[in-house]
Amino acid sequence: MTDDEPDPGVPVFEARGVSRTFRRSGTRGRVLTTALDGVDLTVRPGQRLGIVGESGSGKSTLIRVLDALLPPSSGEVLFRGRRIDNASSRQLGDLRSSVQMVFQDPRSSLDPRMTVGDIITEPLRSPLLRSRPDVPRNHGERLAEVLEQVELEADAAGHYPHEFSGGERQRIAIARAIAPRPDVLIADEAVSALDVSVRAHVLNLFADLVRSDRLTLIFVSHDLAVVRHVCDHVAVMRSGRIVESGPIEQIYASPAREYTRNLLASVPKLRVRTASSRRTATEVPDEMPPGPDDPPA
Amino acid sequence: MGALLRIRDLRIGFGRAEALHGIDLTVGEGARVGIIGESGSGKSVTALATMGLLPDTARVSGSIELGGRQLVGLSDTGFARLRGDVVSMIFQEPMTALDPTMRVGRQVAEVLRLHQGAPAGRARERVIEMLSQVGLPDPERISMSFPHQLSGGQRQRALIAMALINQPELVICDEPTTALDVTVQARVLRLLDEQLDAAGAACLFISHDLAVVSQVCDEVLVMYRGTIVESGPIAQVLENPQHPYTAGLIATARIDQIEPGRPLPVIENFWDGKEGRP
Amino acid sequence: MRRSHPLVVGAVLVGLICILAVVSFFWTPHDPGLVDASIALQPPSRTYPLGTDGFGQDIFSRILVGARICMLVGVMAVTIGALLGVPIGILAGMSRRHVGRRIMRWADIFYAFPALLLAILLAAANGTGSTMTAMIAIGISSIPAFARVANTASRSVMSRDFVAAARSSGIGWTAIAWRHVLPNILPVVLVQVSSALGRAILAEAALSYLGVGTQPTTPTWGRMLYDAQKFVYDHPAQIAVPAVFIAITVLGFNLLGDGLREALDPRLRQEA
Repeated sequence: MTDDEPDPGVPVFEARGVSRTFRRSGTRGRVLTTALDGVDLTVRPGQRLGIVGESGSGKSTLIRVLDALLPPSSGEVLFRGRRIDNASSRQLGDLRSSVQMVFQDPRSSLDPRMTVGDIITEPLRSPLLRSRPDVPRNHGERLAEVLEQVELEADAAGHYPHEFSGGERQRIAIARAIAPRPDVLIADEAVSALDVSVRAHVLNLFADLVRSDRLTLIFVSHDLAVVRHVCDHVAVMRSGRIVESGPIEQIYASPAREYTRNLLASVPKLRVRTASSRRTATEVPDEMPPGPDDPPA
Repeated sequence: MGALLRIRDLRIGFGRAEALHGIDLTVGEGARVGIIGESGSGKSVTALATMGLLPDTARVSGSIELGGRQLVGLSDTGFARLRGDVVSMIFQEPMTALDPTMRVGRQVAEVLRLHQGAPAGRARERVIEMLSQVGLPDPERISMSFPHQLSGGQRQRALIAMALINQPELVICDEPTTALDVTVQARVLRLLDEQLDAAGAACLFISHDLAVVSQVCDEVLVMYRGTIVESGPIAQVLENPQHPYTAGLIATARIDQIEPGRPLPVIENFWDGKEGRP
Repeated sequence: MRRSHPLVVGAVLVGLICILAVVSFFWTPHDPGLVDASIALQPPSRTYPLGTDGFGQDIFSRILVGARICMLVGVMAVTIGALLGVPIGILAGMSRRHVGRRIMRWADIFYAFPALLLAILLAAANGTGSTMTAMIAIGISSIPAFARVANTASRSVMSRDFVAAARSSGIGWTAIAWRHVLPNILPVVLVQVSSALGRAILAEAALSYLGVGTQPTTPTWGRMLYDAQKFVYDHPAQIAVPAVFIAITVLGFNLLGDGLREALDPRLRQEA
């Protein structure tokens, strides 16, 4: 497939030395926590980039900074060659009209008081998107189109999110994201909250969408095995830094870092316990140095 | 080995709907039984019924016998005597399962004192010992911490300590690692495996993830819409699933064996939810 | 299983009071202001359904007219409070944390300022207390409560992912406030409205009782309580009548608020 060659044009996203700290009031006054620590990242058009890491590694903060939902504390973020860190909302028109997001938990990402139809067409009603020529004008038509694309019944539009199962809700969130025909789709742990049996369905949907619409995809997950099915590149994050990155198959087959190997080994696999295997339940080392389970939430 | 938990023709209804359509299951002493199914399949309801934690509006019929005691129709005080002593539960969300206003050590000690009437000094010793046994670093400090000061993994470890401190005969785990990261999940699962072994406790392990169940259990029950569609030793079920739904679950769990770029198998490839209903 | 419907019960009680208020415009059995010492403190009879008060005025007629003022004060005061308080709260809830905190600090200063003091000040500025000054005083003093409730609720709505999703599609702040924040905080605001209505009615009664609200000749339920207190031992029914009507109204509004909250929630509506 020749489509997989990354376009040599301007990168979609470029992060240069991006850091982000959060101020949190703890028991002994205010504490500064570093969520991102000098991250450099380039996303090329058509690339399907996976970002993996444990919770607290900074992956969610990174995509929120990329999507200008959070300003970085220092460093530069560029979208198609233009600075978007600390830009005013008027200067973000290009970003807002080209990038859409899918979040982890559809219970939180779908407004419980809006019908599915209103939710999906909301981006189409955005003043920024109306100015773009290729954004569908006919909302009803586009709604029917995307509902079919995510394999939901057409009459779903009149119902409320709580009437659907977790997997269906995540498909509604995906329908909302693709409704304005974005160039870039950012998915934040989009399958982590779903049952394993539903996960495959949603992953297939992502794979189809990316292939047919030639989207640039940024897919955040803590599960390398999942990322492998939708991405061609991967960046591994730990403690706010990118510790390893490259083509997915290379990293999946031979990770350079101990940390990445642990991530891979931790994915539960089907196995049959026998008396002898009881001792070696999983190949994960007891603690990953320096090793707290994960930073306090 | 005798049967520790014996459930016969258990039916549970809410309002007009029935959530559980008469299930039978047996957990032997020290056995590890996994219940797998999607959300709404009735797996959690089964666990809650065994713990006596169903809401008042639930209609329960059939029989749940735990170590010879009939639990259906047992009063709340009767259940309270069993809970934390003979049977204990590990919940999905450790943050909500712990009281945010109470120090971790006191919460663990409370379970101990409630059932064993241990004096405060002895209880504290035992709590510290238990916290270190579940692999918490610096158990003295952890016991003085509030739940929000711990990480998700540490909270789940504290819950495991709480569930096992009275050496119960049965531990019910309801999706104990679903809220955790893969790496933390792997460590917590291994800890659970070791601790159950050490305590010799039986376990009823509820999950939507067949791979997770296979890390801890020897037997598995597959539930679908309030009935058990398949059961047996894990090896046998994985090797030769009888029900198409089970075959679908196994296929979706083997995501690592599918070549990237190919569509992942979904349940619907195996079963449309209609044919072969038991 | 049948559930009781607070919405229906609340609506019936509030509707009843509304009907009394409307009827009073067209008809009362007697002139509510007619003083006749010769028929003072009569027990309920055919001519005087609820008896007469210490001035010989017909209690039922005064209750009818009182319902009017009671409703007017309650509704106007809460409207003032909600129309000013909710936007302040939403603004604070949607702005950055330290900005929001500063806005709420100001609201808290008002919170510490009792309606009574405000009513006395307004009455002093106006020369005399009136229904209008009571209404404004109660309304202003209920702003902080609305702002607070709206602030906390909006802040929690703002942390939900659907707001992030809307922002990332370029939906503006005003649209987010209208489309997402307001509908989602409406349930808590409604509960606040119903309890504020109850409190406003009680506050008006208290202000009238103290003489800085509605003036003596105008019949209000609070005034009636005040006038009846002299007879509390000999004629307890004198105090019971307005008290019962106040209680019915407050209860009605609280039930109505609860019922509306349920009815407006699509998740609860399905099961009803």
